[in-house]
Amino acid sequence: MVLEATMICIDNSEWMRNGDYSPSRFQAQADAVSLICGAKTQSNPENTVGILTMAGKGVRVLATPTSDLGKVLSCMHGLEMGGEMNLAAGIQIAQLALKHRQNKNQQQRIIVFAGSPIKHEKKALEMIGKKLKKNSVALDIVNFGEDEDGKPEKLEALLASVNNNDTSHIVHVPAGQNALSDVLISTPVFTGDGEGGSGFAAAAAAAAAGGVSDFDFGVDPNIDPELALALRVSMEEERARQEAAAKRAAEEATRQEKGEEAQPQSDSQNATMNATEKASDPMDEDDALLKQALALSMNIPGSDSSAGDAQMSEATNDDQEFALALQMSMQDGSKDSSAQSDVSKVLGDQSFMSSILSSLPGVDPNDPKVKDLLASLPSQSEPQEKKEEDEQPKDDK
Amino acid sequence: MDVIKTQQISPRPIEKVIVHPLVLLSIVDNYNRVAKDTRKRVIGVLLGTSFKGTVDVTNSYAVPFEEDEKDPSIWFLDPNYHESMFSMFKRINAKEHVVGWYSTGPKLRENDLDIHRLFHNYVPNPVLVIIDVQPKELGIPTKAYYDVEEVKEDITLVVKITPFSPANSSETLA
Repeated sequence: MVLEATMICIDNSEWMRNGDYSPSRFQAQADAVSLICGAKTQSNPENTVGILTMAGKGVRVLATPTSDLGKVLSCMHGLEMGGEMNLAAGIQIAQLALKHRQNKNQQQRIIVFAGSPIKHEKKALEMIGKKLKKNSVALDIVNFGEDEDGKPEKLEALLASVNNNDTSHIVHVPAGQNALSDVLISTPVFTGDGEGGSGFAAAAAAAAAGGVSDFDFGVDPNIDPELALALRVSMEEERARQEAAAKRAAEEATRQEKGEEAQPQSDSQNATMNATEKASDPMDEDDALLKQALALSMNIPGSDSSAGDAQMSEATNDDQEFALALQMSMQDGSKDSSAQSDVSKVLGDQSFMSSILSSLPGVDPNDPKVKDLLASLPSQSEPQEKKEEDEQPKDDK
Repeated sequence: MDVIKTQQISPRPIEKVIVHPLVLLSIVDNYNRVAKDTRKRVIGVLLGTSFKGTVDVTNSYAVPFEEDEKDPSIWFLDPNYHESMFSMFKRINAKEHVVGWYSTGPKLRENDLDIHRLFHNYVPNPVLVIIDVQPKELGIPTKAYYDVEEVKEDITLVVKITPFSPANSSETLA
């Protein structure tokens, strides 16, 4: 809740036409800017935000620091790309604009989007940084877009000369699937020096980014309450089952030999994995899966691990849960090599099945047919074959 | 914003600039309060009317302006302040619109052309008036300029600020 006046320096040079950030670098930048404006004004109503463009015919101040979000956002409209970015001039003019802020109690901050190559020398940037530090202006740098030799070093040098008590930050955003704004949300640029606008950021993340969500099941209870309820019910059932399974597994583990011990362990591991998977943030899911994979590959003797890895990499591209299934089946691979029975073992795990079903679009766990299927799963004999055929078309959906 | 942009459909080349005394007084007063004994200059907007090639400058106000002494290409002029101020002035006298800008100089500086270009957004042919706030000799303390685009021999477009001939810039006394 720091009282701040922020100037955002936008790069609207020719390099922003590139499409390596979807939909285009410029659009990704514009989205990020609007999110930042929103976060800043939300975290403290007296915060002000201003915008200037660094390329085009020259550095142009579009909006001086104002708390009127509408004015700031409307300035972003109709911006044209062209020319080369002038980073030094942009930062200096931003500093001048901040000098003229109306409320002198506000902290000064500049956020720079550096997407094109930097033609200034490191020394020049460092001098600018020192001047900013002298005037107690904090600087956040978003390094994206062009990846030129020496660009990260120049920016790091600039950051080092500005940084005062860790108030300034730099974020490197590589091109890829993640939108620029999503990556920025989790960085200190958004969260300020602590909590900052994280509440707003979390809400924005849930609204804007489809896949990443703060809700337990990837479904907003506001949007689809029935599905959310169904998922919650199935998860509770699953949890109860897993507890029972874990107890059973623990008993079996103490009784059985080492070779078979691995399987119930992995079962219970997978079971707990599923539980933790559901409850935790999707980001942690990746880490947990990775750890799981590592642990399993440690257990498996050398020859199997290579096959396991190869199939793992294919599977993770498609479906992480399927990858789990494959891991499990790799475990049994030493005894039982036919793919059919691997799949049947996978299908036999009811908890796992319910988790697959709930993640399939268009499958309602409360559907009577689905419930019948789930109910008949524990009996693992011939009905198994029939279930496979039923499942194949469902899986193909 | 339509309130700001003038309705001059065909900008007639300006031949005469008349500066009213209120303008001179307020500029000098502002300079004395803010930038006296410093090397800083004061920049502001000129309001008035233009009719048949003659510009009547009747009002003015200073705007927050900052420039880097060492690097003339670094300068900042607050456009939001200007727009708010002008919309308020328009309420008291709708005939007054932006006709140009002034600087306390005392001479032309390198970034004047860039600043002049900024004012093209508000008026088709803005006028720059340099007011000498500490004149050494008696005379008219103003100099008016406008910009002209020229194509040089090597087919480059050059924009220059050229003065009005002294006979054409005059001052009325109350």
